[in-house]
Amino acid sequence: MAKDMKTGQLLLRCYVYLACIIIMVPVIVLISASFTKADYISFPPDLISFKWWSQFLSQELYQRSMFLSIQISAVTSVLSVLVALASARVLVRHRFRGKAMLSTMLNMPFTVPQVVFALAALFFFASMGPILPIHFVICFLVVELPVVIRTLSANMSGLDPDLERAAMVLGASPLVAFYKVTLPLIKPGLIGGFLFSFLSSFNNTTIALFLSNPRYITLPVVIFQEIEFYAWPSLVAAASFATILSLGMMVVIDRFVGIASMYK
Amino acid sequence: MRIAIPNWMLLALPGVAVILLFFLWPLVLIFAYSMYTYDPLLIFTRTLTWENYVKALTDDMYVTAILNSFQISLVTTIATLVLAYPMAYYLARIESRTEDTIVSFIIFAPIMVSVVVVSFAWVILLSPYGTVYRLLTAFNLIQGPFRLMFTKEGIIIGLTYTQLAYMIITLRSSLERIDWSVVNAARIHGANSSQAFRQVTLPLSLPGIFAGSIMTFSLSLSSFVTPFLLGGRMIKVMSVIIYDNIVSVYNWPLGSATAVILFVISTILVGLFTYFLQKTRLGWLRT
Repeated sequence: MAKDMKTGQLLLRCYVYLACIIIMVPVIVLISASFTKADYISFPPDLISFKWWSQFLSQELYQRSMFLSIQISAVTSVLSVLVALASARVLVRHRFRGKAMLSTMLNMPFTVPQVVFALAALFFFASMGPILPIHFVICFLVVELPVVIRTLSANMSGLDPDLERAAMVLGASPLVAFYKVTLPLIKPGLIGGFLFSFLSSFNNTTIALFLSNPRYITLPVVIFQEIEFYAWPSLVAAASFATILSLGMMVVIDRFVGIASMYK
Repeated sequence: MRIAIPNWMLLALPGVAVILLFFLWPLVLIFAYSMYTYDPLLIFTRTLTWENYVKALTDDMYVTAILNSFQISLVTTIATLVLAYPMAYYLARIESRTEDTIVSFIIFAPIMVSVVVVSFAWVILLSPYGTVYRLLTAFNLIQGPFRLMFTKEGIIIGLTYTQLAYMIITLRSSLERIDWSVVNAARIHGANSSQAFRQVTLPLSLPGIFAGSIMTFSLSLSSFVTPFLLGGRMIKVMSVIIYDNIVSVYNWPLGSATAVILFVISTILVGLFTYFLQKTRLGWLRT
């Protein structure tokens, strides 16, 4: 009996490791293909070269879209943390009628297909004039809000309300008590939520695709369109760049909140 | 009579305003547009009609798209469940922290990288003379032409790759909640390991299986980038039809009607999902 459990365990472990290797294959193929010297995609790369990377980095469209993506994501992540902080505070600290409704409402963007929301947002904003970067920010804010609220609530519900009360007894105003006591304690959640929100906005393709126009276009949308046109050489470098950025940020986010907790 | 609103209530205001103004109101607009009449010159006129829904539910191309969506999502869900279950089981009983971190990191990588990048990687792998083809011919596993791009199978591979993480985390949470002494009790009473698994562990993880499956199905059904890039112009699903109607055909009312149908289906699925979650008492969806 003990023996068949051992072999079972071993088989299971082999399966999990094999699956992990297969999961990494697309990422490895993509990144290594970006360093090839040939003019077509080859894996494994024949000769190492940076020519596709320099092509990618020197193209005006890629530069412009990357810069816009970074700007939009930065503003979105600041706003989403601020709004989520206020909402999470209400949800964690107070009991009132309609609390369940408020919670459901704030969580709704998470449950609606992004393509449906993207369409709705396009109709809404296009009826008011040309689409501007602020419209991207608003849409990403809507989509990121549920996740950041969840992260911050999880962080806050672990805190003892008496900590703030103690500070107030000692003469701190409610705002100072919050700023000096609670804020430092939920710092991991704040940083984790900020980075996660940045990364998801940076990577968002569906909504950005509906909103993008020749003037304002984000990096994932440029990648999306280039795939359609088979403009592959510099595209592989652009996609690798996005991958390396994402995986790098993932390591940092994991340090602060744990990736798994973002989806719990 | 004046109703006193406590100060802290104001904190909820920004969130509520964002959702009402920029989420719910635009969604209402879609319902309105879906009832407008299509006009080739003006895009639409404000005459109300059911025609768009009739077309979106009866026209051959649209019915095919709905069926494609369901078929692809169903196969993806089954594939994801079968592949994910052993991994979730392994992670639920893992002892080493370091191993847990590394394996979890790899599992989450596909959903942390942009979906357009992941889909592109699959385009490279699956394209007619791509990496998978050369690998398979090198080992003499296939002869003759190779086609996964622009097929349902290709889309299913791409979707399964991205859905795996969501399924694993849902299954893992439900497996971690199992009282393993029950399983041990079955073993002591003479059940062999496969009997204990089939008659104790599996039934206990059933709510997690349902929740994970419904979520995977719903996410696959509403996915857009993967089916678009891997299905191309050949295999159309609902989300791609919506995009085509808006971007290339400019038939906004018909696109909206399709979007409303997708919205209704996914809302029903989310309802079911929440129901099974409450059964497992997982944290998902409840903030």
